[in-house]
Amino acid sequence: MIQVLSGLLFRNTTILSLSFPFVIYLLWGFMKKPKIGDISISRQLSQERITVGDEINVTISVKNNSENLIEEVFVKDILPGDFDITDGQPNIFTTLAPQAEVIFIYKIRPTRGFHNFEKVRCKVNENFDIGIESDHIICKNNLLVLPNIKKIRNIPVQLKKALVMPGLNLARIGGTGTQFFDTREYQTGDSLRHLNWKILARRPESYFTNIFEQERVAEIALFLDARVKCYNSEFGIDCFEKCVEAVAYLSDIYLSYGNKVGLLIYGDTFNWTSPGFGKFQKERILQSLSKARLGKHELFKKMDEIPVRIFPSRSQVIMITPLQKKDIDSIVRLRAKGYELLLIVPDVISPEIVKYKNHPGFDLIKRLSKLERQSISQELENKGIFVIKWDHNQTFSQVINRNIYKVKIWNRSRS
Amino acid sequence: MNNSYYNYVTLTVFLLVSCFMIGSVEIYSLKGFGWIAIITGLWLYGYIKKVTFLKNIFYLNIIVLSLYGIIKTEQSEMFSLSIIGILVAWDLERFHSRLQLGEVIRKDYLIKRHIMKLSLAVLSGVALFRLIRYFRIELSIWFAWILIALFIISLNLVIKYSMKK
Repeated sequence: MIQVLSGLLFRNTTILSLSFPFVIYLLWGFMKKPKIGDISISRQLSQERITVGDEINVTISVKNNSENLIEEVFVKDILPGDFDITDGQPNIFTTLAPQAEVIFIYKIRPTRGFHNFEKVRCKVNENFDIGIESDHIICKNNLLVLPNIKKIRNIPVQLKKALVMPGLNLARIGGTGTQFFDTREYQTGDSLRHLNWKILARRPESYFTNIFEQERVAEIALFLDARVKCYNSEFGIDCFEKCVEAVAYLSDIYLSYGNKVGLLIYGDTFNWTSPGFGKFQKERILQSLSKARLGKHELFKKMDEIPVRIFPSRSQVIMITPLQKKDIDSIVRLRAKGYELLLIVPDVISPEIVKYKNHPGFDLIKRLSKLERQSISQELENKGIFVIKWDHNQTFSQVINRNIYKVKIWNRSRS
Repeated sequence: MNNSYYNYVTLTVFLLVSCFMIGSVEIYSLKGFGWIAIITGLWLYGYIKKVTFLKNIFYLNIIVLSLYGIIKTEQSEMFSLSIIGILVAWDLERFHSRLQLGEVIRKDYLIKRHIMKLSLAVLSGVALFRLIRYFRIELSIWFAWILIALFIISLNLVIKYSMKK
């Protein structure tokens, strides 16, 4: 352009003729412009439902439907999240002969969540990249990445109110069962096989029968705190992921024992999975957990907004929350309404404090934070709420193994 | 196919350096060596720090300085060569950046075809340039103004067409 204008302005034929290579270059580019409509793209995922840590293959095929050569094609798959690409690349640059097809495969390790693969960016141009057409081509695929489930020990349930259905939790009600519960005087209709022969030997004048402890189904509500302010540290996201996995473990173990389990995720929205039984419920809970994200909402700033009536009355509520001092009153209020609360409190602060190791006041900071946590848990335990502290360097199964005896003692003291 | 034969990167750098050499020698005679050194420095800085607009400034400067050289001096052949060199370097540099975008399938074919087309475009352009130089066409002032008007109208149409797309 500069050359043509300056050539014409100065009436210099050398400059004007010097623009010919440029003009030919540009015209060639414009004339040979390919059409993006000639290209069709499809995406295929090797699996549509995986657990965290698994890898999947993403296969993308690009086809030229026209009878013309497409000189340069650039295809970029737009990933819905920040995934690890373990093998290959999600973008290719190639040329497509008439009716030819190019297939490329790459491997990803997606993060937990429900991911919608929607668009693939495609750009076609001729060799000089002058005639360009680009567009986002829609190729929809869904991928569900569920939290990982590892088997852990069963945490005993505090049954204040058992359901009528037979289950595996000791209900502290006499009747038919497998474990000895009590004895009572023989009544007409009692099975002779249940006569207590030792008492009969001591008191031959009266008959006593054994009563067994009934085993019933329990109603359990799991609560996951997803308020962003609770995880407000550098390690907050990791801690939240650990909490999600812990809820997945708990739901798995309780459902496998035949209990009725519900889940409440309390963050920017109020995500309630109503209680249910079995594998179907497990799938519902896992799907809710896979979509769990840290969030912030004015309405859910405090735990006061938990609608307590959604929990089954007098049921066991297991809360996984990095406690804050402001939440104590709300939790105590829940306890006062008759719920059996078990709090699992992950430590979000300690890993943050480690960063100040060289600070002269490090020991003091460490001690103060420890004291604060201790005072909060002491206050709650005084109100009859059982608290399990979860250190940042422990796995959830380690926490359960270390604290299981405490839970048993707690249950026994209440019965 | 041996990729080193088509080592477009080396070729690009070679062309850039050669342009710089030709330009600097020429501009030295026009006392513009300092300016060339500054813009080359800018280009190098942009290349290292990946600031893309700096290389465009470099290309534009070389073109403007070469045009200035053609108008002011009689060494039109040398300046013309540097302008064509800039076109080739600019194109190869863009092609190289496209090859970095992702996994390249049929790389050898792409490179071969690109270099073939570029050579054809440049050689035919140079042939036309030589032909017009041979006939020594003179432009009258009115004809030049008509051509300017036609050029602006056609440029306007091209921009409109590309915007619509």
